[in-house]
Amino acid sequence: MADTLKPSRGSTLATGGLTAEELEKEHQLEAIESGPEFRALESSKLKFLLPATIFFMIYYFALPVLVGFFGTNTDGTPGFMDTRLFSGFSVAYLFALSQFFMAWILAFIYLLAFAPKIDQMVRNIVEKVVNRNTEIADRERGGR
Amino acid sequence: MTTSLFSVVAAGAATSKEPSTIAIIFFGAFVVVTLGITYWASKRSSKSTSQFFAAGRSIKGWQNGIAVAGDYMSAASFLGIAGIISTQGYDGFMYSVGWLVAYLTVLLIVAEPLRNLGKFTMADVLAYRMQAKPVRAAAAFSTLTVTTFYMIAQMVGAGSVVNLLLKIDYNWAVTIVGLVMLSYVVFGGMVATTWVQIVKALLLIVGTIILSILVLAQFNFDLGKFFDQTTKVQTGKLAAAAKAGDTEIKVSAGVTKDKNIIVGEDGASQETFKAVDVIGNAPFIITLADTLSADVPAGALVKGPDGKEYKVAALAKANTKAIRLETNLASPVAGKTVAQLGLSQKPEMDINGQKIKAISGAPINVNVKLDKPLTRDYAASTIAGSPTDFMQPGRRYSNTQEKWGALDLISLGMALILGTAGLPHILVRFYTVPDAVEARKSVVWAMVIIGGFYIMTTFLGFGAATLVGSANVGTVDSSGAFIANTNLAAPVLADKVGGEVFYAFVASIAFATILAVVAGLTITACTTFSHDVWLNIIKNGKEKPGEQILVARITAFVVGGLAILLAIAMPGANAAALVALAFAVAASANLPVILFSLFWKRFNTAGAVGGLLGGLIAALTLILISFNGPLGANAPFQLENPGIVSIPAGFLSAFIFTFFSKETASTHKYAEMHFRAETGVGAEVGEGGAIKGAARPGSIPTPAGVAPSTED
Repeated sequence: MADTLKPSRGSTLATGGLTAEELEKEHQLEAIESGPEFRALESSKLKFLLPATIFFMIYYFALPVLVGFFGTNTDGTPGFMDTRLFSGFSVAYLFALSQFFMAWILAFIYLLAFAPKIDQMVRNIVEKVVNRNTEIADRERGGR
Repeated sequence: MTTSLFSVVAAGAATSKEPSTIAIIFFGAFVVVTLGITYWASKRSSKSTSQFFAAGRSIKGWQNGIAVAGDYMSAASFLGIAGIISTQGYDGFMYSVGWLVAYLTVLLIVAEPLRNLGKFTMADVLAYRMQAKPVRAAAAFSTLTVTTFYMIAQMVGAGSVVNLLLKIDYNWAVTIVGLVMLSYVVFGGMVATTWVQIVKALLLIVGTIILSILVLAQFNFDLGKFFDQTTKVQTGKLAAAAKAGDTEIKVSAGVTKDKNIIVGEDGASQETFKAVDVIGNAPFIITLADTLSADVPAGALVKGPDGKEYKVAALAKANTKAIRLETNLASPVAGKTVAQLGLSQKPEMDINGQKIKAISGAPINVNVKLDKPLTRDYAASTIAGSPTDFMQPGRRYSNTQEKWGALDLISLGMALILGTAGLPHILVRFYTVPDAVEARKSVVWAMVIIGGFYIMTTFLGFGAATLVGSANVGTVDSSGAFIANTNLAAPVLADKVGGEVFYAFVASIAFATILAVVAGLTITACTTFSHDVWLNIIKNGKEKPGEQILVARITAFVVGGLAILLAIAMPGANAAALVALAFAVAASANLPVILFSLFWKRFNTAGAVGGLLGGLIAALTLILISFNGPLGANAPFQLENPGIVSIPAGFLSAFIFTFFSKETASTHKYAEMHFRAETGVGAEVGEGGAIKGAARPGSIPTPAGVAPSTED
């Protein structure tokens, strides 16, 4: 389904066989695809998602690494991560618990603070695509 | 990784409880309600493929979030984590952490592009710019592998829970579970499956909250007291009743010479002594992966994998899964005797020529001399033992427990955090929402629910350890012998703190949990076969009305039937390895190709097929040659979880195979794919997306002229 119906610009350009309208649409869509708005969208996303991903991966893997190597010393005595903060509550447990809040906070920053900006950029780009298509279609109708 | 999660529910024993009428009512109510939902859904689901496979893309973000949580929190989460914390303490909590943080990978990297690019399956994303047939074939193969293994494990677990509560024969239990699940999928499609997930997720959350509150109430809602108790867990119990004035008691396990021993539950009835001596050539009870084919008389010799012989302490009957062995140690110390056999590596025992793996075991009946007499009477099974610090990290994964313990923990962490984003039954859920924005919301909703649930596993697991006692987590078999069963921690705890009605409620939730997850897995398998294999490979994408749904329904019967037969054929510990397999394969095979496909322009068909198969083979091979495989303790691969090797192998394989091919079409279509992934232009849109989309705030309108692939 998705294979057969989706527009496949890469190959159709080479084979030709498109109407003038289609051909122009393709060109203009490609222009939008490589246009400054889309490039701005890409770079904004990268600027947030790359550091965010690196951050949570490091934060997460710090847990098994620290607990695995510094939870219990080789002689069986409690390691640094086993330091107790109050009653039985240890640094290791606190750090594990903090992972939940780290995940939630990062998720909500993404959902509430970052994503709406991106959605606005996406809407602008999509609007541009729609406008161009309508314009071409109108011109085509006017020409007949 | 989930090795210890399933093994014992799978062992399928009976509880001390009589068949509970209340439990039957709860089970029945859940089945009736969900079948009602299925009937309602059946009127909507047959209309079109997008209705059947993706619930018409009309599920709201928050609803899908709850459904994702329902699909995700399987028996391994509810029964398994509580059980593993109750016996191994802090290390079990690692599962909880990894399984939540994994959703950041889904949220930030996978969910939205996947939703924008695909239609029904994970393979859609790969097929977008690759040669469809080879890529779909490889992706379908890996999806069906992950899903089947995951499913058999759930079926085996479900059979045991039903068996446990309703006293129905295991085979019948599995068959009933299979048939109920099949009716959801066959008649109700994705709509019914989604609502079953939602009902189940809400039940699970309510049950877990009540259970947590009841546990905390035992500590007068004093967290300090709760955490204090976690540092002095009594891992044994009295093997026989003890009277006031006794200075020698029989304890099941967990007593160390010259250390303190605490007898009795927390509170006024508790006494602390010093264990002056720990005596006894104490036999220990071994739980086996398979049933004995013949009676094994007392005095018979059983061989361990190292050729060492153990004497059978008492008659072990045919068709049971436990055997009592004498130890040769002069003064067995808890843990030491078990370690001798290397039980964590599941040694294969030679019992009268029958080769059976030992999956768990505990020394029983150690005689302990006390420094002063008991001041009151204690009943048998009263928890007792040297206080053990369950909050201490590394009781399961550390270099002191296992040669590569720390590395195994990191390997487990990798599989957990990267496996989720490659689990097909989770990924398909994002096609049920109208657009990428709703998909994003559903991940965050799922994270809130799943995270809340996993934090509460602290109270479930440590609650069972402190209140029930590790030694009392289990069940009594027909001969009256106690069999440790870590997966019963949550139900047993519910019985302890909430009484019989609540016990029945929690056990029913466990059943609902498994049923819903199995339904989610089945519909994923059906969608994959019908959409990827049947339509796009066999039929070249030419579809006839109704044909796809028919194929999916037939597939459901085949998959369901197969799962029932396999679950009946192997009710043993294999289920554990199967869940581990599912996560490892998902992380090693699926995730690398999804990521490369989305973000690496040069990536091509050869790389995708090579990555999928390479990761799959690496994960499967490493599990086979680990100590969970047929080689047992002598296996060459000494990690429980293959992730740390097989996940990089998957990435490497995808990378190397990419350079074997000079295919350029996939590169040319990258820009187009990337644009659609980021903007949703041309994406499959849901109800209200295509036409009313522009008017809906927060959603992205589909451009009229960009030829969105039409819904059928």
